[in-house]
Amino acid sequence: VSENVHFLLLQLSLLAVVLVLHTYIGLHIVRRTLIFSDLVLDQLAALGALVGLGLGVAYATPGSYVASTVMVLLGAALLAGIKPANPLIPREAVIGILYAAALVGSLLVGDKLSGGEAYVTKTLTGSMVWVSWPLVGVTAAVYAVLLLFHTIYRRKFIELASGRCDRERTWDFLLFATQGIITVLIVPIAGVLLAYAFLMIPAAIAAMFTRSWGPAVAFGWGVGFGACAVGCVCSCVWGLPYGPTLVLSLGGAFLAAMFVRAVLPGRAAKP
Amino acid sequence: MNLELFGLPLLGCVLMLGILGYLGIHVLRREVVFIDIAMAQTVVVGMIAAHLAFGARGDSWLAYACGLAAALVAAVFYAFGRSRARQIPLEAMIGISYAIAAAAALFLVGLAPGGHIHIHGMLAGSVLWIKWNDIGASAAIFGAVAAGFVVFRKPFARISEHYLQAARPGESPWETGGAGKVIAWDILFYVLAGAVIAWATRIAGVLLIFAFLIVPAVVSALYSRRWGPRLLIGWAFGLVATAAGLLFADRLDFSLGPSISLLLVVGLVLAAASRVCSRAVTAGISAVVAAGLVALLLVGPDARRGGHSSAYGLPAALRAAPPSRRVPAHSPPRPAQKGFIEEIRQANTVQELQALFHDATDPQFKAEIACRALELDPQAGRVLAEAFLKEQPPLFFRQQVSEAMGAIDSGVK
Repeated sequence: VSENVHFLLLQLSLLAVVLVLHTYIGLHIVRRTLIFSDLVLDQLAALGALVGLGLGVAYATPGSYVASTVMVLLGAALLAGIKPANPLIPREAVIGILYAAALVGSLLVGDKLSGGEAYVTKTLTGSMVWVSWPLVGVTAAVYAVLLLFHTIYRRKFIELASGRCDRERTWDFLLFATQGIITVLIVPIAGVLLAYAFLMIPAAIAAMFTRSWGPAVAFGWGVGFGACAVGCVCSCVWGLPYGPTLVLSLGGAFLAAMFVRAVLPGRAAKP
Repeated sequence: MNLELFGLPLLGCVLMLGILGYLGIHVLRREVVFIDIAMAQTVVVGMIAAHLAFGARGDSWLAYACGLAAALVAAVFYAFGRSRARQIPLEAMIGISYAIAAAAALFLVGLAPGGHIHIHGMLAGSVLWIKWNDIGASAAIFGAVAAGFVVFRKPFARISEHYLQAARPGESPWETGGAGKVIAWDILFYVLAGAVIAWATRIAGVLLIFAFLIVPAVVSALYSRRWGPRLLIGWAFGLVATAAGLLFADRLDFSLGPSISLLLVVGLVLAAASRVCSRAVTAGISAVVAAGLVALLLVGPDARRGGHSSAYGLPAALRAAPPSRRVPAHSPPRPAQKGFIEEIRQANTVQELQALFHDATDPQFKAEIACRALELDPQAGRVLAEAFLKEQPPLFFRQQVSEAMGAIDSGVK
């Protein structure tokens, strides 16, 4: 029993660290309607890992992380650089095409790898059983550095979100690069789906109730952590699959928040 | 190109392109680019629920009906969400519904060793294995939905172009007429879209449908603002890219869905370059791509057989089969697969089946072998079946073998 409690505490510690930055970055993504940029970066990180495998670099090793990082930084540059001037082509369409290209790359590389489908799926589902204290330490350290960076330059990023930023492409790249780096760290552990849910759901819940950045991060983190804790406990107690249980728990919180927002409109924050 | 093998997939792609090329223009105007992925995932949840509740096979009409029911739930969610929770964009709701549906599907199927084949199959699709009855059903479903889109084109286009304006009260009822009617039109739109996406995804996988939906619509937007010319440009572009993708898959032995998607993206890059770069640069890039395609045409089909790895986990007996006849999950039996299943059915001793079981890595074949072994010798077959169940195979195959064991136990068989 103590071993289970120890493992649960380990998972909750990692979640507590991860959710702060994810909620903050997620708020930027929701407010700027770049919803699927995370899926593009997730898929590019997976493609990097698959290309690494093709070159003989084992999955979830430092070499594999480097391959994924290179790929997501390239993706961040493309996401920041390609902004269609044509009003008939929304920016989300560019994101969609980059996602399709990354998925095509993953499937075609997977076609030529022995057991390729297994790797393609592994990148979707992740494996929380790989969580160890050193990994929590490295993740926490990188997240702390990124959080410090975003705290220092928060005004620039908030100006970016409100569309009043000079050197927009540079700051856009830095935002997507942050998103990419946290993706590389979290996807091998949590998988694409859970990483995406961490980023989107707490932020979307917070965005429904407030437009202030500080309270939104705090509220999103609180709701997200509460939902994840419920998911973790359910997964441990009933032996349910880890990732899907957490996503469903977060999804339940989102549906409840939508219901509250629809039934009790109050002082609705206008888009 | 092998027309016998690629003729039906081409016809299937043309049908899908016809309806998705039009739907894509709406999707871009509404800025709900990822609706296809979210809807497809929701439909999958409905189909899995149909299997769990009624034992329906994935390719049955009952499963499709349950998938459509799930799509209806999603349509109501999107229509109400867009109207009632305007603090967040509709695309955020679509994204979150995708994550919830994908998690629910993984939760229901149970991620076990072997489950990856099904996830891979859902992403990459199996358009290569399309049959005449699939073509007939596709024509009927897409035709019915297209008729709906033609009849209701005005309110749909109005809502796609100017949502807030359409939601104002006082419009004529046939047009849109206020928030309540906009919600109803939105539900109808998303249900029609769901019917197409549910059927097309079953045939061609999420990736190819997504590419057909978005890429031709984006290419057409580069050249025109009007709906008619955009449709024609999108269809023509999609047809050329599909033919080139089939050629690419045939010559270099890649899966069909990802290959066509790749050529659609390459075509889009060329189209975008033609709008941004000078004529000389565009001509240069086009010449390189055209030279690549000509080189593909000149490459004999035999050239591809060299370095292929047996990524699909087929037994040794099947590895000798031409790579282009590899068998994706959930596909109907085709020559090579059929041959192996025949081999299983013709095996007369448990030892033969044990050897085949040892060789196979695909749970579909392993389940067939375990069931055949149970028929031949219940006691020895049970050992093989238990070994298979210990591998925690995907739900469908687990149930198949469990039911065979149950039938042997109760003496029904």
